[in-house]
Amino acid sequence: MNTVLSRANSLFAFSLSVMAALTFGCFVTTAFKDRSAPVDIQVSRVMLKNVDDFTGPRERSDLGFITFDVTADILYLLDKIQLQLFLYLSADYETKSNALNQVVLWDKIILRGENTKLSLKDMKSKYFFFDDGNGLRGNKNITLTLSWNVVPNAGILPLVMGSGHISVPFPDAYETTKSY
Amino acid sequence: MLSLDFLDDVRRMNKRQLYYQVLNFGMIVSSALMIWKGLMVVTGSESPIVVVLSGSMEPAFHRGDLLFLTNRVEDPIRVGEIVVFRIEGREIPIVHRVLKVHEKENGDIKFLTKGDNNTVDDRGLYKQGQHWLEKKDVVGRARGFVPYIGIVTILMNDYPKFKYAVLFLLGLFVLVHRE
Repeated sequence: MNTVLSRANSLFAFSLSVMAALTFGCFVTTAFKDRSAPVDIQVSRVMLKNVDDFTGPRERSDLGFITFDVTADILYLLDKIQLQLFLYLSADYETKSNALNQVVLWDKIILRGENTKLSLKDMKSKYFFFDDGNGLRGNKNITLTLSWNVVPNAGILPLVMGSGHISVPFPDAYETTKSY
Repeated sequence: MLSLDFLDDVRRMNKRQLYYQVLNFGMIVSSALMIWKGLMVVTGSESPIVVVLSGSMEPAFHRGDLLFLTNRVEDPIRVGEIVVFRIEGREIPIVHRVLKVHEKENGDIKFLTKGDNNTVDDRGLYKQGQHWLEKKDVVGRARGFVPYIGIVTILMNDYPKFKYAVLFLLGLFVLVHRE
Protein backbone atom coordinates (compact mmCIF):
# COMPACT_ATOMS: atom_id res chain seq x y z
CA MET A 1 0.00 0.00 0.00
CA ASN A 2 2.75 2.40 0.99
CA THR A 3 4.96 1.74 -2.02
CA VAL A 4 2.07 2.21 -4.45
CA LEU A 5 1.33 5.58 -2.89
CA SER A 6 4.93 6.72 -2.86
CA ARG A 7 5.42 5.57 -6.44
CA ALA A 8 2.33 7.44 -7.54
CA ASN A 9 3.57 10.47 -5.64
CA SER A 10 6.98 10.49 -7.31
CA LEU A 11 5.46 9.83 -10.73
CA PHE A 12 3.13 12.77 -10.28
CA ALA A 13 5.95 15.04 -9.09
CA PHE A 14 8.14 13.98 -12.01
CA SER A 15 5.48 14.60 -14.64
CA LEU A 16 4.78 18.00 -13.11
CA SER A 17 8.44 18.98 -13.33
CA VAL A 18 8.72 17.72 -16.92
CA MET A 19 5.66 19.73 -17.96
CA ALA A 20 7.01 22.81 -16.21
CA ALA A 21 10.34 22.42 -18.03
CA LEU A 22 8.56 22.02 -21.37
CA THR A 23 6.46 25.11 -20.75
CA PHE A 24 9.55 27.08 -19.83
CA GLY A 25 11.28 25.84 -22.98
CA CYS A 26 8.29 26.93 -25.03
CA PHE A 27 8.46 30.36 -23.47
CA VAL A 28 12.21 30.74 -23.99
CA THR A 29 12.23 29.71 -27.62
CA THR A 30 9.42 32.05 -28.60
CA ALA A 31 10.08 35.05 -26.40
CA PHE A 32 12.96 36.53 -28.35
CA LYS A 33 11.97 36.01 -31.94
CA ASP A 34 11.66 38.97 -34.23
CA ARG A 35 8.04 39.23 -35.19
CA SER A 36 7.87 42.15 -37.57
CA ALA A 37 6.91 41.66 -41.20
CA PRO A 38 6.37 43.94 -44.21
CA VAL A 39 2.80 44.95 -44.90
CA ASP A 40 1.23 46.83 -47.79
CA ILE A 41 -1.99 48.78 -47.25
CA GLN A 42 -3.84 50.67 -49.97
CA VAL A 43 -7.00 52.70 -49.59
CA SER A 44 -9.45 52.92 -52.43
CA ARG A 45 -12.35 54.92 -51.01
CA VAL A 46 -12.92 57.33 -48.18
CA MET A 47 -16.27 58.81 -47.16
CA LEU A 48 -17.46 60.86 -44.22
CA LYS A 49 -20.86 61.29 -42.57
CA ASN A 50 -22.08 63.00 -39.45
CA VAL A 51 -24.77 61.08 -37.57
CA ASP A 52 -25.90 60.21 -34.06
CA ASP A 53 -23.48 57.70 -32.63
CA PHE A 54 -25.81 54.73 -32.33
CA THR A 55 -23.12 52.44 -30.94
CA GLY A 56 -22.90 54.32 -27.70
CA PRO A 57 -23.15 57.92 -26.56
CA ARG A 58 -25.96 59.41 -28.56
CA GLU A 59 -24.19 62.55 -29.72
CA ARG A 60 -23.68 63.62 -33.28
CA SER A 61 -20.27 62.35 -34.28
CA ASP A 62 -18.26 61.88 -37.40
CA LEU A 63 -18.63 58.48 -39.00
CA GLY A 64 -15.94 57.47 -41.48
CA PHE A 65 -16.08 54.81 -44.15
CA ILE A 66 -12.86 53.43 -45.58
CA THR A 67 -12.45 50.75 -48.23
CA PHE A 68 -8.98 49.25 -48.20
CA ASP A 69 -6.68 46.55 -49.57
CA VAL A 70 -4.17 44.67 -47.43
CA THR A 71 -1.30 42.52 -48.65
CA ALA A 72 0.99 40.80 -46.17
CA ASP A 73 2.99 37.62 -45.99
CA ILE A 74 3.28 36.50 -42.41
CA LEU A 75 4.04 32.85 -43.04
CA TYR A 76 7.19 32.67 -40.97
CA LEU A 77 5.51 34.29 -37.97
CA LEU A 78 3.25 31.33 -37.44
CA ASP A 79 5.63 28.51 -36.65
CA LYS A 80 4.94 25.29 -34.79
CA ILE A 81 4.94 26.85 -31.35
CA GLN A 82 2.31 29.51 -32.00
CA LEU A 83 -1.35 28.93 -31.35
CA GLN A 84 -2.75 31.82 -33.34
CA LEU A 85 -2.21 35.28 -34.69
CA PHE A 86 -4.71 38.07 -34.04
CA LEU A 87 -4.47 40.68 -36.79
CA TYR A 88 -6.04 44.10 -36.57
CA LEU A 89 -6.10 47.20 -38.74
CA SER A 90 -6.14 50.36 -36.64
CA ALA A 91 -6.57 53.99 -37.53
CA ASP A 92 -4.51 56.48 -35.50
CA TYR A 93 -5.20 60.18 -35.63
CA GLU A 94 -5.22 63.42 -33.71
CA THR A 95 -8.17 65.72 -33.22
CA LYS A 96 -8.76 69.06 -31.53
CA SER A 97 -10.52 67.48 -28.57
CA ASN A 98 -8.31 64.40 -28.17
CA ALA A 99 -4.53 64.25 -28.51
CA LEU A 100 -4.54 60.60 -29.52
CA ASN A 101 -7.24 58.41 -30.98
CA GLN A 102 -7.07 54.79 -32.06
CA VAL A 103 -9.92 52.85 -33.61
CA VAL A 104 -9.78 49.25 -34.76
CA LEU A 105 -11.44 49.02 -38.16
CA TRP A 106 -11.03 45.35 -38.90
CA ASP A 107 -9.59 42.25 -37.31
CA LYS A 108 -9.01 38.61 -38.13
CA ILE A 109 -7.84 35.53 -36.31
CA ILE A 110 -5.41 33.21 -38.07
CA LEU A 111 -4.94 29.81 -36.51
CA ARG A 112 -1.93 27.58 -36.79
CA GLY A 113 -2.26 25.62 -40.00
CA GLU A 114 -4.31 28.17 -41.91
CA ASN A 115 -3.16 30.06 -44.97
CA THR A 116 -0.92 32.93 -43.97
CA LYS A 117 -0.61 34.81 -47.22
CA LEU A 118 -2.97 37.75 -46.90
CA SER A 119 -4.23 39.39 -50.02
CA LEU A 120 -7.48 41.15 -49.27
CA LYS A 121 -9.02 43.58 -51.72
CA ASP A 122 -11.88 46.06 -51.32
CA MET A 123 -12.42 45.29 -47.68
CA LYS A 124 -14.99 47.31 -45.78
CA SER A 125 -14.33 48.04 -42.12
CA LYS A 126 -15.80 45.54 -39.68
CA TYR A 127 -16.47 48.08 -36.96
CA PHE A 128 -18.08 51.49 -37.24
CA PHE A 129 -15.46 54.20 -37.40
CA PHE A 130 -17.06 56.72 -35.05
CA ASP A 131 -14.96 59.53 -33.74
CA ASP A 132 -15.43 60.85 -30.24
CA GLY A 133 -16.77 64.12 -31.51
CA ASN A 134 -16.42 65.75 -34.90
CA GLY A 135 -12.71 65.46 -35.48
CA LEU A 136 -12.64 63.53 -38.75
CA ARG A 137 -13.83 66.27 -41.08
CA GLY A 138 -10.91 67.88 -42.83
CA ASN A 139 -8.46 65.74 -40.88
CA LYS A 140 -5.49 65.40 -43.16
CA ASN A 141 -3.70 62.62 -41.40
CA ILE A 142 -5.35 59.33 -40.51
CA THR A 143 -2.69 56.62 -40.32
CA LEU A 144 -3.77 53.04 -41.00
CA THR A 145 -1.50 50.35 -39.57
CA LEU A 146 -1.76 46.57 -39.54
CA SER A 147 -0.59 45.03 -36.25
CA TRP A 148 -0.78 41.63 -34.71
CA ASN A 149 -0.88 39.90 -31.38
CA VAL A 150 0.96 36.59 -31.26
CA VAL A 151 -0.57 34.00 -28.92
CA PRO A 152 1.96 31.25 -28.17
CA ASN A 153 1.30 27.84 -26.71
CA ALA A 154 2.68 29.25 -23.49
CA GLY A 155 4.71 32.34 -22.70
CA ILE A 156 4.88 35.99 -23.61
CA LEU A 157 2.13 37.71 -25.62
CA PRO A 158 3.90 40.24 -27.84
CA LEU A 159 2.16 42.99 -29.76
CA VAL A 160 3.86 43.83 -33.04
CA MET A 161 3.27 46.54 -35.63
CA GLY A 162 3.65 45.74 -39.28
CA SER A 163 6.24 47.76 -41.11
CA GLY A 164 3.87 49.32 -43.65
CA HIS A 165 1.37 52.02 -42.94
CA ILE A 166 -0.51 54.54 -44.97
CA SER A 167 -1.76 58.01 -44.26
CA VAL A 168 -5.22 58.96 -45.44
CA PRO A 169 -6.87 62.38 -45.44
CA PHE A 170 -10.57 62.73 -44.80
CA PRO A 171 -12.71 65.02 -46.96
CA ASP A 172 -13.74 68.47 -45.80
CA ALA A 173 -17.42 67.94 -46.38
CA TYR A 174 -19.95 65.42 -45.22
CA GLU A 175 -21.55 63.00 -47.58
CA THR A 176 -25.31 63.43 -47.55
CA THR A 177 -26.37 60.72 -49.93
CA LYS A 178 -27.32 57.29 -48.59
CA SER A 179 -24.61 55.48 -50.50
CA TYR A 180 -21.86 53.18 -49.30
CA MET B 1 -2.47 0.03 8.21
CA LEU B 2 -2.02 3.52 6.95
CA SER B 3 -3.76 5.40 9.75
CA LEU B 4 -1.65 3.74 12.43
CA ASP B 5 1.58 4.78 10.63
CA PHE B 6 0.47 8.41 10.70
CA LEU B 7 -0.46 8.33 14.34
CA ASP B 8 2.81 6.64 15.31
CA ASP B 9 4.68 9.56 13.73
CA VAL B 10 2.64 12.07 15.70
CA ARG B 11 3.02 10.19 18.96
CA ARG B 12 6.78 10.09 18.56
CA MET B 13 6.94 13.88 18.41
CA ASN B 14 7.40 15.68 21.68
CA LYS B 15 6.11 19.16 22.41
CA ARG B 16 9.11 20.99 20.96
CA GLN B 17 8.88 19.17 17.67
CA LEU B 18 5.18 19.91 17.49
CA TYR B 19 5.83 23.63 17.98
CA TYR B 20 8.53 23.40 15.30
CA GLN B 21 6.07 21.88 12.86
CA VAL B 22 3.53 24.62 13.50
CA LEU B 23 6.22 27.27 13.06
CA ASN B 24 7.26 25.62 9.81
CA PHE B 25 3.71 25.81 8.59
CA GLY B 26 3.57 29.50 9.51
CA MET B 27 6.83 30.13 7.62
CA ILE B 28 5.47 28.54 4.45
CA VAL B 29 2.29 30.58 4.61
CA SER B 30 4.12 33.87 5.17
CA SER B 31 6.68 33.23 2.40
CA ALA B 32 3.83 32.57 -0.01
CA LEU B 33 2.19 35.82 1.07
CA MET B 34 5.47 37.73 0.65
CA ILE B 35 5.98 36.42 -2.87
CA TRP B 36 2.41 37.39 -3.79
CA LYS B 37 2.73 40.91 -2.40
CA GLY B 38 6.14 41.29 -4.04
CA LEU B 39 4.60 40.37 -7.39
CA MET B 40 1.90 42.96 -6.82
CA VAL B 41 4.50 45.68 -6.32
CA VAL B 42 6.70 44.68 -9.27
CA THR B 43 3.87 44.48 -11.76
CA GLY B 44 1.88 47.40 -10.38
CA SER B 45 -1.30 45.36 -10.58
CA GLU B 46 -3.54 44.47 -7.66
CA SER B 47 -3.92 40.97 -9.05
CA PRO B 48 -0.88 39.98 -11.10
CA ILE B 49 -2.11 36.48 -11.93
CA VAL B 50 -5.69 35.82 -13.03
CA VAL B 51 -7.60 32.81 -14.30
CA VAL B 52 -9.72 33.16 -17.43
CA LEU B 53 -13.31 32.47 -16.45
CA SER B 54 -15.29 32.68 -19.69
CA GLY B 55 -14.96 31.61 -23.28
CA SER B 56 -15.30 35.11 -24.73
CA MET B 57 -11.67 35.23 -25.87
CA GLU B 58 -11.57 31.92 -27.68
CA PRO B 59 -9.73 30.53 -29.56
CA ALA B 60 -6.85 32.28 -27.83
CA PHE B 61 -7.82 31.79 -24.17
CA HIS B 62 -10.07 29.13 -22.76
CA ARG B 63 -11.64 28.76 -19.34
CA GLY B 64 -8.90 27.78 -16.95
CA ASP B 65 -5.93 29.49 -18.61
CA LEU B 66 -3.64 31.52 -16.41
CA LEU B 67 -2.70 35.10 -17.37
CA PHE B 68 0.22 37.19 -16.10
CA LEU B 69 -0.58 40.88 -15.86
CA THR B 70 1.29 44.14 -15.53
CA ASN B 71 -0.23 47.53 -14.91
CA ARG B 72 2.67 49.96 -15.14
CA VAL B 73 1.70 53.60 -15.44
CA GLU B 74 4.36 54.28 -18.11
CA ASP B 75 2.68 51.79 -20.45
CA PRO B 76 -0.23 53.60 -22.04
CA ILE B 77 -3.34 51.67 -22.98
CA ARG B 78 -3.34 51.06 -26.72
CA VAL B 79 -5.58 49.31 -29.20
CA GLY B 80 -5.12 45.56 -29.57
CA GLU B 81 -3.91 45.00 -26.03
CA ILE B 82 -5.63 42.43 -23.87
CA VAL B 83 -6.84 44.11 -20.69
CA VAL B 84 -8.33 42.68 -17.55
CA PHE B 85 -10.83 45.06 -16.03
CA ARG B 86 -13.55 45.24 -13.40
CA ILE B 87 -16.84 46.97 -13.95
CA GLU B 88 -17.76 49.35 -11.14
CA GLY B 89 -19.78 47.53 -8.55
CA ARG B 90 -18.93 44.06 -9.86
CA GLU B 91 -16.28 41.73 -8.51
CA ILE B 92 -15.56 39.46 -11.42
CA PRO B 93 -12.66 40.57 -13.64
CA ILE B 94 -13.22 40.40 -17.40
CA VAL B 95 -10.52 39.64 -19.97
CA HIS B 96 -11.13 41.37 -23.32
CA ARG B 97 -9.28 43.28 -26.04
CA VAL B 98 -9.18 47.06 -26.49
CA LEU B 99 -11.11 48.20 -29.56
CA LYS B 100 -11.00 52.00 -29.35
CA VAL B 101 -8.90 54.50 -27.45
CA HIS B 102 -9.43 58.25 -27.06
CA GLU B 103 -6.79 60.07 -25.07
CA LYS B 104 -6.74 63.71 -24.13
CA GLU B 105 -3.63 65.87 -23.87
CA ASN B 106 -3.65 65.73 -20.08
CA GLY B 107 -3.52 61.94 -20.15
CA ASP B 108 -7.22 61.17 -19.50
CA ILE B 109 -7.98 58.01 -21.36
CA LYS B 110 -11.28 56.40 -22.25
CA PHE B 111 -11.46 53.12 -24.11
CA LEU B 112 -13.84 50.49 -25.39
CA THR B 113 -13.36 46.70 -25.24
CA LYS B 114 -14.67 43.64 -27.01
CA GLY B 115 -14.16 39.94 -26.57
CA ASP B 116 -12.62 38.17 -29.58
CA ASN B 117 -15.38 35.59 -29.57
CA ASN B 118 -18.21 38.12 -29.16
CA THR B 119 -19.86 39.79 -32.13
CA VAL B 120 -20.58 43.07 -30.34
CA ASP B 121 -18.51 45.30 -28.15
CA ASP B 122 -18.79 45.35 -24.39
CA ARG B 123 -21.13 48.34 -23.99
CA GLY B 124 -23.85 45.86 -23.03
CA LEU B 125 -21.69 44.68 -20.14
CA TYR B 126 -20.83 48.08 -18.73
CA LYS B 127 -22.90 49.88 -16.15
CA GLN B 128 -26.17 51.45 -17.22
CA GLY B 129 -25.28 54.65 -19.04
CA GLN B 130 -21.55 53.91 -19.07
CA HIS B 131 -20.04 54.03 -22.57
CA TRP B 132 -16.29 53.92 -21.88
CA LEU B 133 -13.84 52.36 -19.49
CA GLU B 134 -11.16 54.36 -17.70
CA LYS B 135 -7.74 53.64 -16.25
CA LYS B 136 -9.19 53.11 -12.81
CA ASP B 137 -11.23 50.12 -14.03
CA VAL B 138 -8.14 48.29 -15.27
CA VAL B 139 -6.61 45.50 -13.19
CA GLY B 140 -3.77 44.93 -15.67
CA ARG B 141 -2.62 44.19 -19.19
CA ALA B 142 -1.99 40.55 -20.19
CA ARG B 143 1.67 40.03 -20.97
CA GLY B 144 2.10 36.26 -20.76
CA PHE B 145 0.03 33.16 -20.36
CA VAL B 146 0.12 29.51 -19.43
CA PRO B 147 -2.70 27.23 -20.57
CA TYR B 148 -4.93 24.96 -18.45
CA ILE B 149 -3.28 25.48 -15.05
CA GLY B 150 -6.07 27.65 -13.67
CA ILE B 151 -8.63 24.84 -13.91
CA VAL B 152 -7.76 23.92 -10.34
CA THR B 153 -8.98 27.35 -9.18
CA ILE B 154 -12.21 27.02 -11.13
CA LEU B 155 -12.81 23.56 -9.69
CA MET B 156 -12.24 24.88 -6.20
CA ASN B 157 -14.70 27.70 -6.77
CA ASP B 158 -17.40 25.51 -8.24
CA TYR B 159 -17.07 22.77 -5.65
CA PRO B 160 -16.21 24.41 -2.32
CA LYS B 161 -16.13 21.02 -0.59
CA PHE B 162 -13.20 20.11 -2.84
CA LYS B 163 -11.39 23.29 -1.78
CA TYR B 164 -11.82 22.52 1.93
CA ALA B 165 -10.72 18.93 1.38
CA VAL B 166 -7.53 20.05 -0.41
CA LEU B 167 -6.71 22.67 2.23
CA PHE B 168 -7.35 20.20 5.04
CA LEU B 169 -5.15 17.52 3.45
CA LEU B 170 -2.35 20.02 2.77
CA GLY B 171 -2.45 21.35 6.32
CA LEU B 172 -2.44 17.84 7.72
CA PHE B 173 0.47 16.83 5.52
CA VAL B 174 2.62 19.79 6.52
CA LEU B 175 1.89 19.38 10.19
CA VAL B 176 2.55 15.67 10.28
CA HIS B 177 5.53 15.41 7.93
CA ARG B 178 8.71 15.29 9.94
CA GLU B 179 11.16 17.04 7.64
